Amino acid sequence: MYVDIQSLGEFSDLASQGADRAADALGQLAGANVYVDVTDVTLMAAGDLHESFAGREFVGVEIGLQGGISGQTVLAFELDAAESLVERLMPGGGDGEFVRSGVTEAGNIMTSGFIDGWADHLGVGIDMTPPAYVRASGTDILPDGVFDDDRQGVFMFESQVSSMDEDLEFAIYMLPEYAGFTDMLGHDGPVGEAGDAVPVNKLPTFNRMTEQGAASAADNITMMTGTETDVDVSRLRFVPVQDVPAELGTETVAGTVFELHGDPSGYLAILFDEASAEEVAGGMIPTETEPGIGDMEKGALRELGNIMTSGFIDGWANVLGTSIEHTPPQFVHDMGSAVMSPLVTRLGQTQDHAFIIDSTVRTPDGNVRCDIYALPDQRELAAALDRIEPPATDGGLPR
Amino acid sequence: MSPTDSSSAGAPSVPPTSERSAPRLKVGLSDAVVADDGAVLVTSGLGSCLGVALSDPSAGVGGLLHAMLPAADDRPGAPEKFVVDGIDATIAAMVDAGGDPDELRAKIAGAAEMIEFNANGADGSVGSRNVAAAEAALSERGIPVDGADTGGDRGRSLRFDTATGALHVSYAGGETILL
Repeated sequence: MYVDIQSLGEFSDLASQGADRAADALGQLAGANVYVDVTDVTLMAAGDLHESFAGREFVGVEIGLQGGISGQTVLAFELDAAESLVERLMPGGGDGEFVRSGVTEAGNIMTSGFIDGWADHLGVGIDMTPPAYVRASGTDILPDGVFDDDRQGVFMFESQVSSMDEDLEFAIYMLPEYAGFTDMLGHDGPVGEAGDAVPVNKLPTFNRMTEQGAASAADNITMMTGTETDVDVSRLRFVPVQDVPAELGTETVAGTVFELHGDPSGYLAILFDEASAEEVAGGMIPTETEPGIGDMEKGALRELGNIMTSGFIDGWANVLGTSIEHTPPQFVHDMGSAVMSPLVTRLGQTQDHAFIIDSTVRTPDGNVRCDIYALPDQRELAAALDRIEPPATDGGLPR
Repeated sequence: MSPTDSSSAGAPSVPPTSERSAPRLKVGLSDAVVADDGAVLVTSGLGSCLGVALSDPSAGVGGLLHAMLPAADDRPGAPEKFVVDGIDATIAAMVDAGGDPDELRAKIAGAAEMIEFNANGADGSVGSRNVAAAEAALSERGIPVDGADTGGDRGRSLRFDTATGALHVSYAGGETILL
């Protein structure tokens, strides 16, 4: 099953617009400026979705669609976020009934905006059933159809919402039923030229490959610093290029950035928060150094980045059957979003959306955290995924 | 370039924002916001991107653009993704809000060169091309540049007080300068 990148981009833009409308409506209710920082589409294997939703409580609305798109769509908030949001809107009202009505209203506004936009775009009518409030744990919040086939990818729209004036930050998740969504966007075979469409059935393989790359990068941290680490999350998202820097925020990060050459080309950033950077660099430097990130720490982080990058991209190159090379490490130490902006600016010269592959490496105690961001050229990545042989993909379905 | 060698045009003598209760509005990347109510426009994480702050002091209208690339030249994206197209879009929105295109003044900040890429075209880095594009576009439109803090190898965040025309530029670690 193929999804063409242009349609995915249009769908992503419509999701952003729907989220913006919901944020405006929430802002009017709350008397604050509420913004959507980023709306991304995560393409993940159903099993990975199970894992990332496990142990979390959600509330939301479920809406049935008929017409141009059919199936169930769920819009969900984390319960804690919904409660604090409602508490802010109606002090003292953060209990069940108000949460139910607040969530139902916000969910209805956002889903309507999203569906209306898509119906206009397709030039078809889409009927919606009235929103039904749902509360559930983990993936029980999702529409039943999400797990039709555990080896298929799942599309999840996630909007990060925040306010300038208030301490308000939460995520809204929207999951369309897989079958309805792919009926609309999917194609049985490749469309257009090589790289115009993403073979969705190869995505779980790609995710596993990225996890292996991140695991080998994590092993390198352990080997070089003596600090035990593990890969926490690894996922592939599709984001408007201009929204990528907002994913990192303004916290200061330190680490290394690489240019990748080959199939696919692109960029890789290995970034630590400052405390983590000091900790891992300290583990590599045999002598005591001044506090902060000085020349010794820079050198250590460059060396570590170099080795992690090799491990990471070797995994890609093996599965994709290509050769990928990387430039020497460039040390960066600045606001996260400012570090990312030159990378997306370069991608932005030729593309409007970007695939961002984000893996988090952590120590069990949570003291060290490293984020690995890969930003491949979208067409080259799509073309490379298409070349993965089904037998080599361990679970890839024949198309 | 360090913040101290920037070509600051000096601070306007007005009450700081903290003494007034002005609304704060966020300006995203590839985005511009215009205000006629004295709002403070905020944008963060400029690396090679350029911030262009425009104001018409007599009409009390100000706008802030956060652009990624010099000019569209058939590339995909909204006008605000590009310096030249974004300046025109911001001016148009300011005129709609009651600004006079002949009274506009500008300040620019950003366009760092934080990362050296192997394949920087023959015409230089994106940051320096963004600055050149802004200077040319503003000059062609007869808009004087009252202050600039560009280049260097550090990222910036901007806070533009549309009531006073003050542009606060801050760096990671908390240093701030005023244009």
